Amino acid sequence: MAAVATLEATTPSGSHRFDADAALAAAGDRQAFERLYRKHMNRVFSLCARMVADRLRAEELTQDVFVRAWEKLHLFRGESSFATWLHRLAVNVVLNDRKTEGRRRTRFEEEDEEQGMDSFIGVVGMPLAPGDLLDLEDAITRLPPGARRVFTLHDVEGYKHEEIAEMLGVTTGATKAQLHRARLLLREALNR
Amino acid sequence: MTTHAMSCEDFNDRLMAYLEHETDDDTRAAIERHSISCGDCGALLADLRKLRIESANLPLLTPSRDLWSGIAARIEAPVVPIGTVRHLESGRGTTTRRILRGALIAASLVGAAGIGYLAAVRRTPDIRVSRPVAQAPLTLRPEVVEPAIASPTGSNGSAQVARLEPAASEAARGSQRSLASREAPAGVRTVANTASAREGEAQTAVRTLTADYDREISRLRVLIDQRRNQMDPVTVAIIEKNLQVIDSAIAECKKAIGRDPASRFLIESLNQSLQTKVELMRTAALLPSRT
Repeated sequence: MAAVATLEATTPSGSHRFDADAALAAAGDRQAFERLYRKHMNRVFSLCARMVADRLRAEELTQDVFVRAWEKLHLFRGESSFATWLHRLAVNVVLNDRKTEGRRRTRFEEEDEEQGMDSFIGVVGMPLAPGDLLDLEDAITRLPPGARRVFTLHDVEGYKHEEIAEMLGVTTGATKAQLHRARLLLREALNR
Repeated sequence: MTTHAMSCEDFNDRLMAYLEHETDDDTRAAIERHSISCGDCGALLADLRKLRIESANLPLLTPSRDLWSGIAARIEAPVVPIGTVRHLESGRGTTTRRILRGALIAASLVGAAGIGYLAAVRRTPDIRVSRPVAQAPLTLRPEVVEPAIASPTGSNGSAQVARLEPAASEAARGSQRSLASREAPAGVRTVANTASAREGEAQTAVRTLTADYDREISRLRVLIDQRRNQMDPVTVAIIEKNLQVIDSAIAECKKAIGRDPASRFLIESLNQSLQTKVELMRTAALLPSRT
């Protein structure tokens, strides 16, 4: 118990508590790692699903995220909360996947970026029929990929433009423009 | 205090900055005044505010299946205590580099196995021809025994040999002891008996060496087959091709050991081939999907 108490002590900044399971998992305790998985899987999966707009792919990516987390846990120093660290790792895994996929899909994606929501076929695989009512979740999946990523990271996940720009390797001006576009497209989809 | 009326165009131009709290007080006030006086712009602002709130409060999504079993299988601790997989854990090096490295190792293994095989083939007739059938007691040629006793050589062989000790070297030592016991003039043995004994020893050595590896390889094979659809087909093809090369090296080694069971070089080659195979399969099992 003493060890746990020490591990859970607040950091000097007092902004978060070190996760005991993270420390145990970093030392190779797989049961602790499974507990971390159970605790954080939905949040990681939600991020993946909204970023890639494909639930099956999101499940694969969620697994990749946790495998990567297991491999990288020794690098986790507790400078941020484990949830923050894991979440950032998940974003990196998704964005790296986008780069890999992007080599094959670049042309199609560029075309998508030029088009609005009507032309984009979302996760359900069906184009939106006139008069269909979308909920926000569906509408997000139908956004063009670039706008969807920025919208998810900013409005859903709460990252700042500077952080998103760094993750995506673009300017903050570009992320702001994408975000505004995404919001307008979503409004249009939700109000039709 | 001036109260310039804001146009809808100005409103739209400044709306993003307003929502991000990046406008000065005057602009902020102008936008809010315009949103009250203009029905369309007011509705737009209200919708976007509502959208922000709803987006930040979206419920968490849940996977359609339990993902832990797949994760657990991929992070499972290795069965065979192999010390040279540090590069996997460190995460350094690209996938391509790792696979190419595997291919190079596989190619070199085939070469080494071929050399070993030729050496064994060349050595074996010596024994047969130099001894008349059912007459002289079997004496062990020094160069056959030597590799089993000598310290391992080679730049990268030390770690492999250390791991070889409990399993394969024991078999090799058993083989050596068994052969050495025949040095005593205990009686006359036929070449047929000798060949049979040697074959048995070789099989024991190979069996001992491969038992642990086979278990690990079977486990990894199941895992890779399960993940096959998640991985890039080109990567899968390269991995399978490399595995075929390594398998042929393993087959060559086993064949050569059948002819020369006391050869430590051959047993080390087999050990190295099996280890290379396990490392490559582990790499494949840990690869992120679609890479």
